[in-house]
Amino acid sequence: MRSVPPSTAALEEPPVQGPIAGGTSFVSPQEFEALYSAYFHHVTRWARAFGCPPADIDDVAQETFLVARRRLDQFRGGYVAGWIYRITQHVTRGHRRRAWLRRVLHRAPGLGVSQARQATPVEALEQREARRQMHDLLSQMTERRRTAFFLFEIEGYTGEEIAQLEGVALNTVYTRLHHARRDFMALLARAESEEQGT
Amino acid sequence: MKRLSDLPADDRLSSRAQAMIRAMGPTVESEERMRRVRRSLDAPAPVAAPRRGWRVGLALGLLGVSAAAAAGSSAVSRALGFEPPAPDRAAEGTFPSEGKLSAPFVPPVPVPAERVVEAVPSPLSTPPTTPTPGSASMPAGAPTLRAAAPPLSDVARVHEAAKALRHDGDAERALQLLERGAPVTGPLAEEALALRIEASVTRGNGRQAKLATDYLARYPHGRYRELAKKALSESKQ
Repeated sequence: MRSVPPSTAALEEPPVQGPIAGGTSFVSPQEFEALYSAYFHHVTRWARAFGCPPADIDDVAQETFLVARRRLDQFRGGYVAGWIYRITQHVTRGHRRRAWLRRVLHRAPGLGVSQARQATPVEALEQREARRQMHDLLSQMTERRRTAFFLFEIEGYTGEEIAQLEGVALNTVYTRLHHARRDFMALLARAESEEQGT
Repeated sequence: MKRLSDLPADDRLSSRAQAMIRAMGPTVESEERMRRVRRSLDAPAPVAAPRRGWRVGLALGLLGVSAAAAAGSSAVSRALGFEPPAPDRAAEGTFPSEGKLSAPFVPPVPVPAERVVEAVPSPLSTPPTTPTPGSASMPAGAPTLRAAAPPLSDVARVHEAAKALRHDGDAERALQLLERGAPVTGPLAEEALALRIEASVTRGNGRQAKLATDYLARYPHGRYRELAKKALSESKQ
């Protein structure tokens, strides 16, 4: 396991050429393998930026590549990363809807709470609390701003890369980031004042 | 454009924001995860129930509710005197017998305001058998709108059961909803089984061990395995 800034090579040049770019309906297993290994880690980052809970990232990645494999023959060339990015976005949305229902169903009181019984170091607890607060704040932002903020500030993508993925102008990304930061700081300030008030 | 974490933290708010961003951290790249997901891509997909089923159920449900609403508004308008009240044929015992209907459409029986509530499909009502007016399966005095209540879809059953268990604390009703009729299949089958375990634990009917064993056999890596294991261990004590 390692945590590194995202490798942007896959974003700059599509790893799969030929049949996909040419629109041929046949995609060999080797081409899918190339696609998978080039984009898997990106898909996990994107899923997280779209608000997928960490525990469900594997499921979302699996579903994304299942959809990608099924639809590879329909891909008529263009920017592969953007295509997979969109699939990830749709899959994550669907997954979040289902996860919401599951959360509602299984907010089990007193059952399945083994994590709460485990002794947790103070640092880990503080980190977890910070992550929870972060999720709270991000969930109050609009999806576009949140995604741009998450990809730029947390996952380390550049503005140009986000613009390519989203299929928008660079200035649009910077505008979203500007508003997202402003929202984030305002929400944080409000949360702080509420904490002090209680 | 610089990242927030690269900017100098001038004030307390900025330093807290930076700390939160650091706490989130970028996604950890895991080769093991990559291999695991790759393996699961080639695994046979679980058989899911066709999605059309719940859509049909939802459509039928909406139809039933709209019919009930129409009858309710009709009853209210009659009560308010917007139109002359029709004779209460059900009360007079003059319900047309089978085969003597002159028109294919049977106008709804005037329903008093308090009975309109009954007409809305209830999750606890038995699956309707769509009796015809005057037939043996439908008493003369029964509200005819009940016949329009469609069977609950799997999604609706699980949803109602979850509400009964969590909101109303009615484990008995949750079990009834989940166990009456055909077992829940499709994407929410796992949730339904986990809910049955939880309801059985709450009710203390001693069936949680069997259900938990069933769950662990069907979903060894399921989302609610902790719940099942806990129910199993509690039942052994």
